[in-house]
Amino acid sequence: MNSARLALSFVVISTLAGANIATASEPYLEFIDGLRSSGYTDFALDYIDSLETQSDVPAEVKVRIPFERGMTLLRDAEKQKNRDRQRELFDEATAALAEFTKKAPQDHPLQPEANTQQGRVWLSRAQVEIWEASAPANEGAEDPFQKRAREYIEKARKIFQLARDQNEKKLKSFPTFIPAEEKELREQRKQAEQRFIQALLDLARCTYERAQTFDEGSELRTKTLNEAADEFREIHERYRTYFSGLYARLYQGKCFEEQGDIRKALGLYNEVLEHPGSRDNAALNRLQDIARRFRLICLNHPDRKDYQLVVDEATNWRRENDSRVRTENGLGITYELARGYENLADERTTEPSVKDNSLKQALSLARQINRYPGELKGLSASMIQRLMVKLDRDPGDPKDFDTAYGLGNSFLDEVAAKKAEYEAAQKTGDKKKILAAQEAMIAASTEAARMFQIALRLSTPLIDKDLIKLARYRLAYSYFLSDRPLETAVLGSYIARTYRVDDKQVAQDAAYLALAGLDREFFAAKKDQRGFELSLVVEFANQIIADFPESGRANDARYAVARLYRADNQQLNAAEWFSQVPASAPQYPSMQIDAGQAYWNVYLTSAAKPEDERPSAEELQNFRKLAEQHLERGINTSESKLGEKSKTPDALALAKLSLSQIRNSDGAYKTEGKTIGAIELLTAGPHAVVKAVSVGKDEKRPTKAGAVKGRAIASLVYQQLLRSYIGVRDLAKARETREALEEVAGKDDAAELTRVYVEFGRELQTELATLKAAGEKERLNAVKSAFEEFLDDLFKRKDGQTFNSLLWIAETYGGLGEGSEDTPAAAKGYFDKAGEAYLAIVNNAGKPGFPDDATRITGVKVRLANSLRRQSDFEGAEKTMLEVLNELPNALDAQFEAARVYEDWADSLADPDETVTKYLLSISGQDEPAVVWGYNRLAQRLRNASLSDPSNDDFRAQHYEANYNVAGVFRKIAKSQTGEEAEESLNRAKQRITYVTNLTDEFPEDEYDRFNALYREILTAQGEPVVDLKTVNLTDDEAVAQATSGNPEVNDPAATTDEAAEAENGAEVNFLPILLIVVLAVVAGGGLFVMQSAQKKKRKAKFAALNAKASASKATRKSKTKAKSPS
Amino acid sequence: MARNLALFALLSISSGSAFAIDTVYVVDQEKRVAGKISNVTRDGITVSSNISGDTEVPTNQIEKIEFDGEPPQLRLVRTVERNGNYADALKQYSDLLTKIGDNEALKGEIEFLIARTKGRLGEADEAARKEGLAALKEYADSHRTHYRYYDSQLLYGTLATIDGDYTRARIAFDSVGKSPFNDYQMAAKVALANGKLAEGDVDEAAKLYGEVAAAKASNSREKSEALAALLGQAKVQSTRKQYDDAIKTLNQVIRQTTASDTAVQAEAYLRQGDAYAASGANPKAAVMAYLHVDVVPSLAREASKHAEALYRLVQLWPVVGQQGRAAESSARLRDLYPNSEWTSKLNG
Repeated sequence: MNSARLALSFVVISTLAGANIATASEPYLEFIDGLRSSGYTDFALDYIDSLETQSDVPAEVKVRIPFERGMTLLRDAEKQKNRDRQRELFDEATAALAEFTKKAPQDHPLQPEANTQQGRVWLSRAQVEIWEASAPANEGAEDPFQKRAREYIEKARKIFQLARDQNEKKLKSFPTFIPAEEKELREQRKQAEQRFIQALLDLARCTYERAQTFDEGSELRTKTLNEAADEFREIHERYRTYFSGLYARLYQGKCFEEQGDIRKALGLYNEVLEHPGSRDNAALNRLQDIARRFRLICLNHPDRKDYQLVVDEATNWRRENDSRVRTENGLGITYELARGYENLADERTTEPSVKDNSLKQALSLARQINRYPGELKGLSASMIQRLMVKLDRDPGDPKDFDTAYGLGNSFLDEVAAKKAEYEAAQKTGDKKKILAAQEAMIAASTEAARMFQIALRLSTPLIDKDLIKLARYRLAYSYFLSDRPLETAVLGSYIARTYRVDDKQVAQDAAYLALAGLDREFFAAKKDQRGFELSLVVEFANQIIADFPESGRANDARYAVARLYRADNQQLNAAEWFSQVPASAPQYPSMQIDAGQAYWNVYLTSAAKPEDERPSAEELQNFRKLAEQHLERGINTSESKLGEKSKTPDALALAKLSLSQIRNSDGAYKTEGKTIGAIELLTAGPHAVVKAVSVGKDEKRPTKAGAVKGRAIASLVYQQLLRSYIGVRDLAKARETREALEEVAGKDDAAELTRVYVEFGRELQTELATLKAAGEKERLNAVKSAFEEFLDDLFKRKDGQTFNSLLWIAETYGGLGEGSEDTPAAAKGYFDKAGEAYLAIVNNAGKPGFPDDATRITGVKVRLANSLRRQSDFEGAEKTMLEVLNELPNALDAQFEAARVYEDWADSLADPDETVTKYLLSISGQDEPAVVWGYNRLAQRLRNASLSDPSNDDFRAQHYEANYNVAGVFRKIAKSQTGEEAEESLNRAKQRITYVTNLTDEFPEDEYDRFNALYREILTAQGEPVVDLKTVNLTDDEAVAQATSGNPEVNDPAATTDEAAEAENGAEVNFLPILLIVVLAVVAGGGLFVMQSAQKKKRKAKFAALNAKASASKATRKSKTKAKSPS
Repeated sequence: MARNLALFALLSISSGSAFAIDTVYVVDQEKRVAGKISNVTRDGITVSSNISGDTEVPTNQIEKIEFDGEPPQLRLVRTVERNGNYADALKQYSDLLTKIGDNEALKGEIEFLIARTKGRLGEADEAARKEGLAALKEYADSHRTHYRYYDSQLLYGTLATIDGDYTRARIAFDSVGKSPFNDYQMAAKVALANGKLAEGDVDEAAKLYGEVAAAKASNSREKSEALAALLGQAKVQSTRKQYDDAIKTLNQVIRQTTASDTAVQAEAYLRQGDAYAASGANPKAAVMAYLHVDVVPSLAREASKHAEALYRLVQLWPVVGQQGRAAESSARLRDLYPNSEWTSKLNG
């Protein structure tokens, strides 16, 4: 707290607080005022309450009771350390003052004052927010506090402006000349004039306080301080002969002092000090004492270092003004004197004897100050301990509480200095320096902790309990700084429990420390072993909420728990905790957004679950609704608090993106009524998402995962926007957006761009599936027709077509085809068009806009084959695939496609022999005219590849896929056979299934489900009892052994001799080409395998494609079935 | 006789003079008597004016006098004294005494003010008490025919009572009791009763207080003395452990005092605090009573009473769970009244 500022604010309040105290036989009002001035507000409030119930209290006193209560509550609030209690008291003070203005006669002389005091309550509220903004705990989160402070100041300003206008009007209503005899009228004019000047002072003070709401050293702060200085100067110029004029001069000086212009400030303080007047004018004395105090602060400033002058001047003042030494300002002057002595002693040039003497003088003065209550009590206590340390010549551990406590504080000061060094080192990026500063910080905090431990051990009943409390708190803080989270948590929670009644502020701060300790402990624990830490955090947070339900710390606790749940991927719990933060909390907007994102995540992941695990439709709908509600609230409240020119926070941009996803899936592309449409969410200012994701012309997009300006999020934004424009059939805008999307996704990064297109197609497919499932035929047709219209329009444009645009068209048609499976004719039509687009790419290879890159063209051919297969043009598909495999026989995805071509071909045939032949081709492949592996050899290679690279989830998934297809095709073969042949095929299918299920102890559940379903179908066909598939867990060694012996992948009679021979040497199979070709295939074809695989697996997430960030991040390949929101 | 003098004064008050030199402010009156102070006795002064002739103002009617040639600072120093800054006031009165030349009337007044200030200092400060007693005694001895004689004797007796010298106190009060003025007689009797109570003669004290309380009070000074007697009766009630009665009586005193009766009011609050504390039923009410003397500026100016209030608060704050405030009150008592008997008690 800036002590000088506090003193200054008190000037204005106290000049009026004592006014109009009526005299009565019992000094009711003098007593209340005396209690208030002495800081005994609790007794003052009790006394006021007692007056209310006494019948013999004079009416003129009774009528003032609400006013006095309001003034007392205001004073009580000002001295409170607990910010939440402070805010409550401000509310009560406002209510009491409002009660007075309502109940007292309108011509009561205190009416104008009661109004003005309500303005001062707002100013005091603003000061609290300013202090909160500067609190270390809120470092980096000053904005909401500063904004609220400015709001409160504006409310105060309105009241003062009204007072100014009313008093000016009243002043003008008096005649210019009032004869001396008309005393009453003269008095009335005098009062109106005083109130007018006071209002001017109050208004100027609003500007001064507003300056405090901007960061120190910022342009705005300097500018506003200059404005305040000008306002005070004007008041001084107009009323220089008035007392208020001098006050204005003092404030003007303060404005300069706070800008670091010590010379100018000193000039103005000197002017006030030199003002002539009687030495018995109490008000002038008081004012000049403040000016003296400010002057001494300036002289003690590091820019001046006039320490000897401070000592001389303050000593003289104390000698000449004995009766005022113990006033608030007298103590302030004494404090500056003590500081002067201490500073003098700290000077290098000071003689040792003088140094010692100066420290002793400073210590004696600090002890004098410490006897009195008030803002200097704490400061002088710190000074005493500091000086004790400076005077201690004993090199060993301290022998008394004061010294140990003082040393602990000195070490904490050192930590602060080291922290600054650490931050400076971080900016340089010099790892050695960073490490050294970090080690120094930990060393100093460890020593601080040791000192506080010693202090507590040496405490006696004579030690001030407040100091013991602070020593405990600082010990917990030192533990935290020295990276001892568990000790922090234990001690923090003890302090929180012990002081929860007597000192709520310390209790809350300690609780917060404890939470911070547990939070650190949580993240230090292994990911799968965090349950204990999490349960502790939840328990402790619940305790904080129960003890301090309305406090800011309760909200911190809610946030902490929510954050940890989120980190533990317990999204529903996270959402519920985020949403508990009340609307009055500063974090409310961001917590609403977090809650919304978490609910959206819950919705996506729940919807992606297998049907039997998926929550009911109502529950799903509820998650979605909650996501929508919280996102809307978060967006609205965030935007209402943001200035038009403020930068769009990342969280807001991401929230709008998620909400636009929801809107697009609802068909709410444009704003209707109160529902903001996706287009407006993404493009409407002042905080447009498209603007938030944009980068400068030569600016590189950040590569950090989740960065709003990063390519992944930016491309997702444009995908959503494109989806919206297609939805509203604004084809021009859609074309424009598609081009922008291409630009954002990176024209030169073929793999990324292709991935984006495929993703878009998948999203479309998912959307169609969702609409179909929901029975929304009308919307389904509308979406299809909107896309078709756009694609046709785009495809028909011969000019300007590129590899990318055609690929996009092809993939999107493919998505439409996939989404129209229940209407084969329509699906065939879409696949036709997709095929046309692929063919166009192949035919245009090497032309402008079409890279002559064999690998990429091969990838497109695979897609072409896929389309042809979908159109049932199996010969065309086979031809295309054989071409591809001749060029790239090791292309994993191409081999899958080739096997599928034969399988689907077999499905379409009527002749049993031909059917079986094609099925066997799909299982065992062929070597001529090109090498086709078939599912069996695919399974062999993928099994070996998985063993070689166990972390590769794709290989594992594809291995299951290949084996499942082997079993599935044998089941199909059996359907075309009879008798023993059919039984043999069924056995092979069964054998393949049991083999796979026994491969590992981590058989994925969703894989188990489909294998089990097929297994049961086979048992049924064999007429055997239908039981569930059993898994036998093997060790890794057994699994490896099985890979080379007794492996149906190897021993399958359908496999050729060569294949078996190759498989026998499985461990020696060269995985590198496979791996390489897969990567190349993904680069070229854009994750084609991934897409096909997903299409096959109907059980997989329908909604996965809706996931924004997950599919955009590099981790996407690993999490095909997992969905994450952009939060 | 007093009644005649008062009547005489009232008849003369309105006759302001353009040639006035000294101005006498009369108790309970707005108008002043102006002229030259031509005669000074123990029982009054004579103000002579070319227009209205001689006006006699009885001693008990003199509110204050502004003397011809009085340095303007004198008024300010009086304010300093009224504010309880006795050390500052004493220094400044002493300075003024060296600057006023041969103005005997003014000299007599300033000498009294110096003695009174020393006496006030002695009330709260044991170390200054002897000097205060000496100064007042010397003043009374050398100004036996001065209108400030009774005041100096009353203060001397009060200080002697505080010092435990009841005999000297009684002699001083007796001399005041012989004055022709009812209010001074009442004051002497109350002061004597205070001494008796301090000596432990409760019945005698009760009797004396009763007599004053029952007397008819017709002007503000007499009313003030009657209140002082009522206060005395409350003290007697407390001594007899009749705390509820004492509290009621003290409430009556507090309600009836005027803003200028600060000494009586401060004393009343102190005794009320004592009664609450002694009854043990309501320590918070006791704190509240003592706090009046600490935080109401006009009452805190009564230095000895303020010192006592601080001492009592040091004892009682811990009882109401405010140890920190006890330390603060203790620090202030030591700081403000380092030589007070209350500080000695605290240290002892």
